[in-house]
Amino acid sequence: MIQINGLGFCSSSGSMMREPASAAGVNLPVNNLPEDGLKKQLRGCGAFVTAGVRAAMQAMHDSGITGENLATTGIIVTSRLGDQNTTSEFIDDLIDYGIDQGSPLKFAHSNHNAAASYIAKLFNIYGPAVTAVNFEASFANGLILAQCWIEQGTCNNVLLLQIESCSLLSEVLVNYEKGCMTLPADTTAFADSKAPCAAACLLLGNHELNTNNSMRILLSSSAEISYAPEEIPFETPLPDPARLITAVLKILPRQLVTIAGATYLIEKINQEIK
Amino acid sequence: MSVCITGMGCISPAGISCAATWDGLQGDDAPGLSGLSETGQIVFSAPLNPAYDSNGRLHRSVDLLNQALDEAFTDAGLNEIAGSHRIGVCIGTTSASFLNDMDFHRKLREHLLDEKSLKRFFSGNPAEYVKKRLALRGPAMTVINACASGTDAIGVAMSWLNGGICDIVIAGGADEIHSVSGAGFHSLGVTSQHLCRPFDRDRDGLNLGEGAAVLILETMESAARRKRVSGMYVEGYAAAGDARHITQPDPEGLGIERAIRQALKCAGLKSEDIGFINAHGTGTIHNDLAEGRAFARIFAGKCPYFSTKGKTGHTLGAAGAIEAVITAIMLKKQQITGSCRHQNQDPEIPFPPAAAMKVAARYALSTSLAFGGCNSALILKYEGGAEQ
Repeated sequence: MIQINGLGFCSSSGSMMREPASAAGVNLPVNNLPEDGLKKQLRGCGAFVTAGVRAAMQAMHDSGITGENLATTGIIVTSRLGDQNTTSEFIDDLIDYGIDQGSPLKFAHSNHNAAASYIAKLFNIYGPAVTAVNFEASFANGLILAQCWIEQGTCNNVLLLQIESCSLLSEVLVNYEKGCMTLPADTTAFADSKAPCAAACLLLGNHELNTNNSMRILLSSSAEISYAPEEIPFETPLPDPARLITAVLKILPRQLVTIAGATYLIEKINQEIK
Repeated sequence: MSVCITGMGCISPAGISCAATWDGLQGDDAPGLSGLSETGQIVFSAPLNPAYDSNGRLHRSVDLLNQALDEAFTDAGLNEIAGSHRIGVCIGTTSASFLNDMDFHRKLREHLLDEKSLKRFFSGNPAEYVKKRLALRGPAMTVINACASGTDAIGVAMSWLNGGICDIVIAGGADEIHSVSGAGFHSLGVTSQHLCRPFDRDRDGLNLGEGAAVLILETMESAARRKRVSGMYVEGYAAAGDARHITQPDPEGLGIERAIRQALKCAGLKSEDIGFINAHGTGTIHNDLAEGRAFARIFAGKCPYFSTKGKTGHTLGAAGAIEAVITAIMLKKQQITGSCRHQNQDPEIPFPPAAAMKVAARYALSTSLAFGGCNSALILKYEGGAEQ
């Protein structure tokens, strides 16, 4: 059985930290990284990576996971469009200054697995990491893979993230979905450091190995997993991972989440994003 | 639990198909379509069959993928049954295809984007493209794990099959030579202006390449039901993180060592069971050092290793899949091609790579390392006689 041990959210308005769910006195790896240190470590990153790191941090904090368990945790980052703003900044330099004038720092961060890389580096996570970018069913795909990993013993815990940022492209796509091709007049709003961005993270674990966690939102067993893509609509809105996760869980409760667990989780997410 | 490989397709700078890629791997000369990138670096192009050239309607990565897919589908005998089975798609790529399209970006920022450009953009997600083209019913995931994407796509496929999500998975990788990735690797100073020399003392960087490879993976039950048990299996897979640096691998190769040891454990094997290693071997100083040191600790110089990137170039998100196909061909032929253009042993790497030779191997290892500290190891098994 799989359970959700921790939740984390971060939007451009800042993350919302809660007290850890674990027993007092446990040395949480998250506590070893103070805010100043975090800012220093993330100084080269844009909003996409920062939001992902902060959401993961909150989920870890929420779960009370120990450093020992974290070391073998898996990381799955899902997104519909990836880190478009950081990518755009690298390409802008090539267009504006020449093909041989790319910034190595921007290129390194424009790789779409940078968020997973930073989470692994900052919290000493040595488990498997997959970043997947899909227009459709992005979070549902991540959830299914996380369940496979836990049930097959690939890892005992998985940090499953959905990260989205508003970008010039996302604005165009939202308008396109509505049937028009209107482009936003002010493109400076999507500079990497300014763009609205949000990340949501679930820390999933093996129920048998996490019985002391107070959250215990059980997911169903693998026997009940069925993939029904026709039930998963094109996921909107683009820049809101928490609502996206909620929408997926609402659509797939019978396949993926026990009814009680899904209701509890959806209420909790709705409280957070109000 | 192992899964059966029932079909393979490949296009690489070394050749237009699986068989042609094997032929193209022989010798030390450059592949036929080598040239210079916009930044003056040597790049290896793939010989795309004109029948698959969409002339810009689709991304070149998708054109390459279509060609490899059709070869694999025919090889697996899947043409008749695609819609009636639980078939998933997992394809690895880097940022070079739909996410880093320079012309698209230029039009976007200059407010010149039209519906045609958007449709091309939407068709650029390789896994979703395949799912729609074949009207499949299973999951579709595009893995963006930098240069380990192709190997990790096979790993995801294995998880789906063993988790009962699918009966069959179309797994692989596709990437094209692209001005954005070319400029990016140039900016990092890791490309060579010469033909690359993986594991050589005087190596000075990588050559970018392009291509696609597709492996049709099936549960044993599905392959047996279709009477397609081939004798070739994915026996083990594991991935592990360095947790160290956003671009450079751990210099001691600790991450790839963890991945290899876990893959061996996954397959229930010991290091001495591995007959040869098709290494990531990009030709950069850091990659080859990390791999060479890790191989020495695990295999103590007793297992031949080599890189095929001297012939294919570094095909980024396609590399892991192309090298999985090449590894399977070598297992079938019981022969390895050796590390192209290796001449001088690097004293920092404890054991030199192998030259071309006959082998007696039942199991082989293929490794991938990537930006983000991603390390992946894949173990293939072959049960059958040597093929000529």
